[in-house]
Amino acid sequence: MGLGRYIARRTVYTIVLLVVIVIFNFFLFQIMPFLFACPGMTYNRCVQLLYVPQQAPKGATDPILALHHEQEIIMTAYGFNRSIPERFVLYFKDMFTFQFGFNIHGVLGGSVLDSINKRLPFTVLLLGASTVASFIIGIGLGVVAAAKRGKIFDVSSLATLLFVNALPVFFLAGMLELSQLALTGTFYQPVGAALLSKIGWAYDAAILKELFLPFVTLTLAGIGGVFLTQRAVMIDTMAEDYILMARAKGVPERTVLYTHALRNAVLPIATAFALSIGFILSGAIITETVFGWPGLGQAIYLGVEGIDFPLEQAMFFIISIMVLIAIFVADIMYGFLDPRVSTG
Amino acid sequence: MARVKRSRFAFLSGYRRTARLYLKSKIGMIGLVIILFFVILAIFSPELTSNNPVFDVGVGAPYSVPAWATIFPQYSGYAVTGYVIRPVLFASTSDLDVWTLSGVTNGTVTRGISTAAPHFKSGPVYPGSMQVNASIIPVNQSVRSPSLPYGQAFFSLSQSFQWTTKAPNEFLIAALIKPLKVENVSAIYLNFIVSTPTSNLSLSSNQTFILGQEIRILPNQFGQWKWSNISDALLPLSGLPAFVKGSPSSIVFNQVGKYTLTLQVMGIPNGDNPSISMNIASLSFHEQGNAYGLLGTDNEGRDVWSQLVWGSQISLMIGILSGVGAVAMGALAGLAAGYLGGLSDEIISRVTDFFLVLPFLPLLIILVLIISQNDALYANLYWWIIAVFVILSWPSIAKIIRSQVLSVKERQYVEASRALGGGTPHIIRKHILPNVMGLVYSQVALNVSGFILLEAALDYLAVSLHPIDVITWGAMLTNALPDATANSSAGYVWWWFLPPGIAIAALSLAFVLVGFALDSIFNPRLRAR
Repeated sequence: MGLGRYIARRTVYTIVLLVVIVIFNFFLFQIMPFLFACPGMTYNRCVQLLYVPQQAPKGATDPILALHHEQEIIMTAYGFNRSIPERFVLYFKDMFTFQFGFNIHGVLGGSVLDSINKRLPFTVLLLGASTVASFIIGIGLGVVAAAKRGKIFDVSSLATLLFVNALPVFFLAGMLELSQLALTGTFYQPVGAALLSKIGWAYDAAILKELFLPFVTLTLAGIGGVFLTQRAVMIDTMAEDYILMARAKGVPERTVLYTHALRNAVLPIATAFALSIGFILSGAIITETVFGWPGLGQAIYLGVEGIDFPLEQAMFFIISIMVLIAIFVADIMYGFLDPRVSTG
Repeated sequence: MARVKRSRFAFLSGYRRTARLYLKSKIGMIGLVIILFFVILAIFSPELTSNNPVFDVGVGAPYSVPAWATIFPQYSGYAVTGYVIRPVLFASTSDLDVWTLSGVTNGTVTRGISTAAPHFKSGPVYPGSMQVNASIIPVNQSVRSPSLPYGQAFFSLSQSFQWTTKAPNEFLIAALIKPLKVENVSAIYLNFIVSTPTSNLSLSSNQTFILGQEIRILPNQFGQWKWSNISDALLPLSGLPAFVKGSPSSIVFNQVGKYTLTLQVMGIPNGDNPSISMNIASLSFHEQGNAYGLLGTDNEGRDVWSQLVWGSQISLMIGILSGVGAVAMGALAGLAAGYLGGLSDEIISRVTDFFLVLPFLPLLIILVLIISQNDALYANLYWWIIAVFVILSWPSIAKIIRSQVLSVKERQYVEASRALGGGTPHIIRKHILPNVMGLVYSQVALNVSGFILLEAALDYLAVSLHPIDVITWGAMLTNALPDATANSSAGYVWWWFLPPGIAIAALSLAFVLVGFALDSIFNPRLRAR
């Protein structure tokens, strides 16, 4: 199988998977909530019960008319007055044209796309920085630990990272907030409050300052997995025959380690890294919520709190596209880096 | 016959070998000990705790520090919530000596054990009571003590205790008594007297104000069991001048030293030879301070130790059940995909890819949210959470098992076995399974660890969906987090915030260690050479 055919196959496969995911999302957000929330009730009745206002807006001159008007608007805006097949077609169209509609609850502002756009930079900044940092540190520690297997460095870094990995993220976040308090004497300020009065460079500086703790939390939480994978792959690679061969012919240990072994051992990590980049947009729900970081993860959390399905389905769709692209890129990259894959 | 027997138990030797190797693994044993510790907590939760972790609000003052923390300088002298004087159950004559009985001059007093005991639907079972018979010679009005205008003392019971801490927030003195036979006495009064190291304070008013009604026993109440309470909340109402200025506990317990609690029984004689026979089932002195129990209390005065112990049940149940379930499903699917190949392999690989693309945690919360919209499903929320964990996790496990099966399948001895005519069941049983089971065991351990953490994360993110009658470690952490990061006056509630966090970390780490140990036993390549 040539590289061209390999890429073509992966492309078709990726598109099929995307369609399947859109269908699943439709079921998850448009059908399932109503199946579970009001069993034995018709779809439209359940929708009305859950989402359509039952009380007239305050201050209306004719409450009944106003209520009907309000209900009409909601029913049309979210397509609740259509049949399920109609809705599905519409849903499909909306998703692929990025018409995500409006947030049901006011917490996150009006248009879903707007609220996503507004939060995107925060999440990319936080997740991007911490993902890169945790991969760099994790790979570095993993390689050194594998090289010094069984020595104090290996055992202590393994024990430490296993312990950090076993901490619930919000516990870790709380402990870090406390350590900031102990070290600097100031509390962590959720980013929203700290930014309101600032513009220009002061704004950027304030963001970077408030970025620190969530960044450290996520990096610490991420290092463990990378470290363990890198260490295991490296140890496996070090047992390969060609390493023995290289050593036997007198190649210096450093060269064996960093040229022969690492180049092969970094492949699985590269895939994991691509996947992590794909998941950046899903944000870090827990960390962003604990620190009040106004990213997409917090939006997902707030959306779940308010049963805001337009936002959630848009997020799911966007995340899925990103992850599919990441996997696709990783696969292609693998095809280039490791000839064994594409030539089978 | 002997051959058959040996082969039937042949599999045991494999287990014995594994067990022997496992016992040698240090990290494996550490993990096992930690897990055993929490399993014991989970199994013996009712025996280990005396308070309901959720509903027993106010067993101590809110934000009480643990009792042992009073050794630290910043908490030194905190009064520990508990009995200063425990209620004694009067079962035998030796129990009588706990209280010192003293009569009055010109009177007689005797005591003994009586089988008469109060019966309550809940609470302690009283085996019996102390019976005191006292008679006095009535004195002239004018000779009576001026401080006790409404009667004459018949007898008193007293006990001394050493007070070493600061004043408690609250205290409660309670007596459970029953006047048995009362002759020529028109009413009985109970006086609770606390003698501080420097002075005597009568805690009950002899004026029949509000407090007096609590204490006074009229003839129509004779023959019935009756609680008589004095608490610092009641005392200011009594109008006693000593307690108008501040809280009674801070006035009474303002010094350290030897205190004596005395219950003085008085009556108003209205004839010759007045006598009182009285049963006393319980007499106790309880204080509420700023320290409580093993792990203190939370913001509502609930016992943190109880919460920690009961929380272990949910963590272990969810972790183990979903770990076993997910790995069982994943292993079956992985075996099918790896060994059979073809269509089943294709399907399972595609399903795995599908689940890989979905954002795991958001999907998890949304599913739990959807489930909790339905009352019938919400009643079994934790079983549904386990089901969701299993459904969302088995594909990645199947992927791991599949690749192991694929690599085993290609090994030469499997091919040799097939060439010799070994059928599929034979090969799976004799060659594939033994080489995959190690991975399966270690996957169970590693996944249990993951699910314990996941359940905690779910508690945090879906805290509004948390069933009200269940406590989990994740919920404890979530409840404590605001206080832990902001409440400096309560010392950042370390006794409340740290234990569940450490427990989650310890338990999930323990399972990881067990997984590592199993991995290195079954996967000789990982053993250090």
